Amino acid sequence: VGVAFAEAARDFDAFRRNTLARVHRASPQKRLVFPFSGSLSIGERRVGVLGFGARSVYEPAPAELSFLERVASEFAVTVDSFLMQQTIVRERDRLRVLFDITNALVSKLSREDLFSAISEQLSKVIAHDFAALTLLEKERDELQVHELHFTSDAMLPNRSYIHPVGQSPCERGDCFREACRNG
Amino acid sequence: MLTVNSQSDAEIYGALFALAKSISGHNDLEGLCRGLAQSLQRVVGFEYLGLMLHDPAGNVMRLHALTATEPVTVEDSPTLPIDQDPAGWV
Repeated sequence: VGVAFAEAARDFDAFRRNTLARVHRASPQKRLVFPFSGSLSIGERRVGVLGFGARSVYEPAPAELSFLERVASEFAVTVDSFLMQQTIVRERDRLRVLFDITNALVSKLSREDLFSAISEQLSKVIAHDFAALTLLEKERDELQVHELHFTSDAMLPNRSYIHPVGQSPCERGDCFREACRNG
Repeated sequence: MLTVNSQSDAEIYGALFALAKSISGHNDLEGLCRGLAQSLQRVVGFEYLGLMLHDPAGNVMRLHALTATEPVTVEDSPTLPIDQDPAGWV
């Protein structure tokens, strides 16, 4: 139904008002009709679309469209407020993590403690089971895992923490390969 | 089927009041849409209500919530290029 909904939104062929549109054609597979869709706008900014669907064809009256237009305009403010709140909460969490990591950087003396603290803080915004600090041993051309921190009970598939360059899972990123090539 | 014309003003205002209460009681988009659908179904007949939001990162419209009178399965998160969506037109 979700896909049909999105596909049907392409089938708009008339607008009754500036902010209210009608869908005339139905989704043939799901036999759905999308009689109208109200644009959610805050001033000049378009937030999205609120669409109504039915399984039978009908011709909405002007009063009905006007009513739903009013509802859409009120709902737009709510949705915008919700999205704004989400953005602010994300930014708050990001700044809090940065603050805590900065605190760890100046208060943790050992590499192990520092790495654990950073991994712990990062897990609040980037979910992960474990974090590893892998350093390149140039003389032996190997990558060695120097620190491991688990944020869950997950276990690594094997206990070999030394990999020849080119065989480490950490190297699968293009950035790392490029950095190794450039020394 | 839409039935706004056959409703009394009191019923319509009652639905709007219920909508306002519902909006203030939810803090997620799914819940907001469910509340909106339940309130409006007192005066407007429809089977599906969908909320598509603009995703500035990809400049597309993405289906965020879909409420229906019957259980529905959304296979993925459908998106539309903004120039193919009404919100991009108006």
